[in-house]
Amino acid sequence: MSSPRRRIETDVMKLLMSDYEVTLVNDNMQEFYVRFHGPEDTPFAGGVWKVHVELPDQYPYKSPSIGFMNKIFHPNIDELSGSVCLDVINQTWSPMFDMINIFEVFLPQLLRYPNPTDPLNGEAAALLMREPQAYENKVKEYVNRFATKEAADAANESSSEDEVSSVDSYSDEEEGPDMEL
Amino acid sequence: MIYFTGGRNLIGDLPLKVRHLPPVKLIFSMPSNYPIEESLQFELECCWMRWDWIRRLEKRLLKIWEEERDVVCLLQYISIEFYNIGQTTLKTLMRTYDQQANNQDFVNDHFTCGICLEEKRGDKCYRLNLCQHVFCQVCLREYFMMLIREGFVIQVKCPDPGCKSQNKLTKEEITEIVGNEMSQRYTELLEKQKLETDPLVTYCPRKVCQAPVRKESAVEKLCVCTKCTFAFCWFCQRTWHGVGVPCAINNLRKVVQEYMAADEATKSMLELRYGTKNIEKLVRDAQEEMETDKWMKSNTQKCPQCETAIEKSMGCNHMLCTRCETHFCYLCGNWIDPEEPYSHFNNPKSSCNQRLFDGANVDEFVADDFIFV
Repeated sequence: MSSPRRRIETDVMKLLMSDYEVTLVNDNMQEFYVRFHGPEDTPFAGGVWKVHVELPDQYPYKSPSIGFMNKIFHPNIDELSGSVCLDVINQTWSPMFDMINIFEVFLPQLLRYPNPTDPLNGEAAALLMREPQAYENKVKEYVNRFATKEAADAANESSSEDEVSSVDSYSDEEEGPDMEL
Repeated sequence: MIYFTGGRNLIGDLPLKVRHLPPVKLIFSMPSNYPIEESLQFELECCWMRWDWIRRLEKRLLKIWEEERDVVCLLQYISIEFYNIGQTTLKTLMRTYDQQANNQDFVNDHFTCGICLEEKRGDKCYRLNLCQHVFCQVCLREYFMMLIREGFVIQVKCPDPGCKSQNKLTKEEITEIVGNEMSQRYTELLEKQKLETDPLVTYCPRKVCQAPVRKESAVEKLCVCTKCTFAFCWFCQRTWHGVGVPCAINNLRKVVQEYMAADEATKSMLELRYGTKNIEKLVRDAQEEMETDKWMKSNTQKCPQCETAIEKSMGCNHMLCTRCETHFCYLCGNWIDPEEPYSHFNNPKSSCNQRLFDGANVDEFVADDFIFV
């Protein structure tokens, strides 16, 4: 099974050229983090998220997996795992899509137009439908608490803590790989 | 009506639609011993036919005389036969030439494949019939092979997300792209998925056969395999036991239950009656089946259309069957209208009202929850 090797390189280069901050994992083009900024004119504005991207060996025939590392309050993003529920990066993925589509169109669109009828975060969905103002406040609160530049930098594999401050002190089997023997 | 496309030997580059062509001139002389011994001396002149077409046409005309010798064939030349040539041969010739020229243009052209983003010569590319979208052969093959290998055959269509033609590719195209073996698997999977969504289809219980068998009527329980002619019962999947005889499977279940609950004495009696090995196997199978059933019941929901057991890994309870694309509810297993999928969860009369995301985060919760619904 061959995959267009150059596509992976081209896509990562395109991300870098479009001024995205990309951190490669293990110098491997197939796994990296992208710093993602909340779109303007939305309650997510000003937020910074570290988004984990993993390109499968069969990329772009298969879609990449996308996950938010630091917390975000959004109906279609799982609060604990950061998994994103978005048809275009799952069932209706096309091999003609690329990273730029994801970071410049799909994700900003998802934040701008959440779909509360198909939620991964039930609380966020319910709040958005019943009390839009409270939803907006909670989104902003999360942005202030969890989506600062520092929080995005500090976010690691286990972002399930309630408090940002506990990220550093928290340590158990979920600690980052650098702490393992 | 003839369409000229591509401007190779023709006027400009614009397609040209013509109803009339300049005439074909037949310049002839009749030798004195015509038509008995010599043929008509003739030559064709035509400004729009290629020289090899003209030669071919001349040969055909000559053949008429050779076949019929003593018949006066001039009239035939200018009427019947030429009419035929104009209607069929010429049309074929033109179409063939047009296709050849188009293919040649395609092969010599360069295309940027929208998948690997590499520019490749036409001979390394493939143009999809229906939508005319072009991709490189490697990408189309690898992408389609991945989809077929993983069973996503309904996704095998033009990879362009903006493509309006949502139609399936023809079998010939698929074979050309992924080869015979994969194309066969594609067809098999597609047919299998079609059969699986058919509630009146089962599979021949003979392990060596396993051909799909369609039940003739909804009430009849006798099935006869169309491939190996094995007659079996629809319900118990065993050799046909006649209409009046109850299905053996109930009996076996009872035996197994009886055996499992029995004391040592009864056990050995049952072993004597049914054979130790048989009993052992039955018990083993029954336990396995129970375990599987238990797991399936608590971890999956059946698609109401094709009955494929679907395990939800995450997300809400609005499910889309990966096999037949049927929309259904993960809680109650009922079909959901794809036009209004969420009305099922917003209807106060529905048992799933306001439960769209019940158990979305905690797996165990989902499992326990829907068993008792």
